[in-house]
Amino acid sequence: MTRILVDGVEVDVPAEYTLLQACEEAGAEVPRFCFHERLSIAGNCRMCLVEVKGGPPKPQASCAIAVKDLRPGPDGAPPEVFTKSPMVKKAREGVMEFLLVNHPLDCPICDQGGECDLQDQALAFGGDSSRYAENKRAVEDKYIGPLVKTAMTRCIHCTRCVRFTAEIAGTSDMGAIGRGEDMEITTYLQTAMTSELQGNVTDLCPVGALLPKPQNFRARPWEYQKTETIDVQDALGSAIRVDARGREVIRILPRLNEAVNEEWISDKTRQVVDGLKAQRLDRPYIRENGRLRPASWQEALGTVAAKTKATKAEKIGALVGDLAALEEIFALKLLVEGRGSANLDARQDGSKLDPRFGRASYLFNASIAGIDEADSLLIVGSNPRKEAPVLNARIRKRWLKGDFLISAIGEQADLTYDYDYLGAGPDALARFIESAPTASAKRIVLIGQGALTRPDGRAILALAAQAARKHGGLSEGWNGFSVLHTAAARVGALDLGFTPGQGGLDAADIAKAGVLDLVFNLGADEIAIEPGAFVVYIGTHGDKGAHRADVILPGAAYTEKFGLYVNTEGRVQEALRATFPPGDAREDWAILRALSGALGAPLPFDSQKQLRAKLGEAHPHLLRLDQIGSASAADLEAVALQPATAWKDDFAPAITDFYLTNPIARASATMAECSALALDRLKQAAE
Amino acid sequence: MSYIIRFFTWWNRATLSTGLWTLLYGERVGTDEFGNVYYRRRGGKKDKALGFERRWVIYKGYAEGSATPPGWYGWLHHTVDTPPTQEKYAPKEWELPYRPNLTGTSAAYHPPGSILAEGRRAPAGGDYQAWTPEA
Amino acid sequence: MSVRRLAEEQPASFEFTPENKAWLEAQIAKYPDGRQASMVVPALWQAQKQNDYWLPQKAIEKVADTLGMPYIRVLEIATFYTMFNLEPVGKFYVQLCGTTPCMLRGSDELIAVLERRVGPQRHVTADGLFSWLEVECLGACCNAPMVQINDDYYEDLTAENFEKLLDDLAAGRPVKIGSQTGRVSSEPAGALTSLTSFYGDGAKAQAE
Repeated sequence: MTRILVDGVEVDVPAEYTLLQACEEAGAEVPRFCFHERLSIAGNCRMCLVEVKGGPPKPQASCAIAVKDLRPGPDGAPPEVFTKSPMVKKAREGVMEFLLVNHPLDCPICDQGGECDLQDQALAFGGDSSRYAENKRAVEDKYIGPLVKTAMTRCIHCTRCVRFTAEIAGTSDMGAIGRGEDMEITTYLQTAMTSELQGNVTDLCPVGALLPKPQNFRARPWEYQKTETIDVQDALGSAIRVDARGREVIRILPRLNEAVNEEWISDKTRQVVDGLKAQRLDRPYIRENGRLRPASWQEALGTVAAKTKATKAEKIGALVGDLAALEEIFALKLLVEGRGSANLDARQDGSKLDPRFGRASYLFNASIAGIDEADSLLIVGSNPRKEAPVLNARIRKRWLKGDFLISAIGEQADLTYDYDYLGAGPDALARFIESAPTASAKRIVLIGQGALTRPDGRAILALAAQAARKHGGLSEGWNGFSVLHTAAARVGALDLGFTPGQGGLDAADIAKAGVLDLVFNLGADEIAIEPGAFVVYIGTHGDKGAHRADVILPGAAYTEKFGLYVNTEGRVQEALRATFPPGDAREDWAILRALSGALGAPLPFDSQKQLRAKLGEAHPHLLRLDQIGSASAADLEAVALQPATAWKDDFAPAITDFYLTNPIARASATMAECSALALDRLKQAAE
Repeated sequence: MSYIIRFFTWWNRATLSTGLWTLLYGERVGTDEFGNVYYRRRGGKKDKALGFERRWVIYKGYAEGSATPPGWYGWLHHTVDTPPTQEKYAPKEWELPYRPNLTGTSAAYHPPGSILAEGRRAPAGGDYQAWTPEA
Repeated sequence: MSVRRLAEEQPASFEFTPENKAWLEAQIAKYPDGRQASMVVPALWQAQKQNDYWLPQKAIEKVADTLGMPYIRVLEIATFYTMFNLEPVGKFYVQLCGTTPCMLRGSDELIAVLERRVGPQRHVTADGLFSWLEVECLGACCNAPMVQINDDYYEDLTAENFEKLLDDLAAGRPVKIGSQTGRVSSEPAGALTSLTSFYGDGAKAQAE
């Protein structure tokens, strides 16, 4: 630790801190454009100039000079930094004047207006008027993809976007061509960016040069109603802020959560918003003579109740989809079990994870932040870039630090980092168990759904547990056995035990023709329920499930209800309501409560508060928000001892199209455009 | 009846005192297409309080500020000194006839879909597109 | 200086000649593993030399593939340095120094010659022989004004001898590289103005 005086305030900071960090530590505000905590230091905007004593006698870019670069005074007096001296004020005004020389005065027509770093800092640190009468430089706008609109004349060349795509996203999409005044930020020959995290450049851009294209000229930042909630597009549960104006969700921004998403979100999380407005189920429907017709709630619930009463318990089944919150899963479980049925399943993809093996057998035990501590990684049957892009960025961050050997079994995809490819199927996993390429004390064994949704998924799980146990994945204080889920509802459903009970049927059997007479489908759209059963669909979008349904009960999407979700590492988080469900749609738990009333056997709660209390009685850990409930590593020992005779087939990818994984995304025009573009790229690469 | 209205209301035509003052000192300059009558101080004499000539209008019926058409408005506010009756201004073919502000009257604008108007509201931002089972 | 873009008309493909390929491989081998990207400027230079002194898109992509770099990184380099020509140039590519010493010594006359004979900057003559570009200081200020034609410097130019130089080049006659007035490298143009007498020990020795 080094002592340093900042504006006369003495602080004790690590020697490798930059002056900018030291100033922040001392509470002094230093303006900046190019500096960003998570990117490399560029030092090219010069906005963070400070005056130093004990260093060069000129204004210093505080982001690019370290505390240890300053010398102490002759009698050991600590070096001094001034952030409010006349020299600094003049330097900042000068830099700001240069930045504004070529920046257009189009704030009134710029979407960044109101949340623009340049606007704010020009007000706080700039001069009072312009001395510049010459023509300004104009720059051609570039096409860089369907998600980011450019207005390159506004660019101040901070290169944050270039550094983001090169360092965090790992795709090196963007660059700065030309030099000097003619420098331009662009992608290679104006091709679309290829990263699944490209939307983040719009957040990074300190001016209005890179803006979210789907939100073009839609609203001003001060008009939004901001709701801090979580995302359900993948199983990470990224922290997001939903910005709504009136009853419409206009945009989704990331929120800081060091434990999960740092400050990035994937493009699906960000731009799925238009899916929330399209293809919505806004009234109940009943199928009559093979056609669905709009109905009232009473009528629809009455029809379902009559059908339920008329059906024998063992002929009733229930499926839960990928986006359901704990509340409705719990309510549905109580409802169906109350009828005496054990045919419950939340694993519509056929995953062989089972809560009977213990909580550790289906969690990302290493925890997402734990990736930073690990010293090697084995990926089994997963493509984290598609299944959880933000997690992939975390893996890449750890890989960039060095001493991190990554091996992969399964699909050989471009993951944005180098890895040892061991093979495509369980054989390679068996070989790995025989002899791992390196010794490791903190290995993460990441098992994707691609490895677990096969009929021999249980054997793969056992093999993976063996691999973890034998090669540094399980030790005192370290549990590297990590299942990467793709569905936000899955871990919660497994925690609640929404799996076949004694003698119950699993998802594949429930969907089979002629097996059951009545199926409750809570938003499961990735599974085809064969003809025969009477299907009650509770969901938000007119997708596969709605087309198959005999009665549709319209529910609320994740931005329209208060709901608990458990992410892939077992962290319980709450999603908050940003807007109301459309039309006659209701919150899902309330639908199930109403249905139970129509059945004459009301569920034991009348409000969400009571529901949560009941939920807490049964599963206390599910009410501890933002905490990871305990999972015993000893369970994995038992998993490892399971019979492990796997098939020879290669692991198939769990996600074929990143942009279209759930009904909301499939309803979104933006996601469809991204998907088509990605498909084109794939075709071109194949040629 | 009109006498009573004139006596007790100040928002129809002119009040008695204004009428009297107009009779004594006013010089009629002209009328517009709505029948409003425009006056100025007789002979263009400077007003002591204003320091320049006083100009005023006596409305026909309801006293509504927006009922003065643009030409007379300009003259009334000393933007121009030539009253429109002495100008040779021919309206362009694309110029619509002047209409006073209709807010508060039955002819006020109501957007389509309003309960006071016909028609259907155009889709707005907060709307969603509902799913319908096809065929 | 102005915004530089890739040429509109591009060849369909680019491949290094076997000699250049061998040269490249030998050079790449000098760099530590994972640091091959440092080779990008020599590689681009070689590609430009091979392709009549300009870089087509395919050459940029070829260099990127060879060095394992993203295309945009190589494009950044190619557009940054004005020595990389992104559009075809004449067989004799004249880079004229217009910086202060050359300007004081009459580079404006040379510019007039070029504008008359060749046309505006970056324009290739119909016969494909000449194109020219005004560049910043080429470091031969003693012999100002000067131009660089392809790889060689031609110095001490005047409108007349520059005209003759261009005539000779166009006709394929041999030309003299370096000073066009016959002085050796950058020694004084007239007589010696300094070091005309010995002093110190040298003067003593001479006196003896």
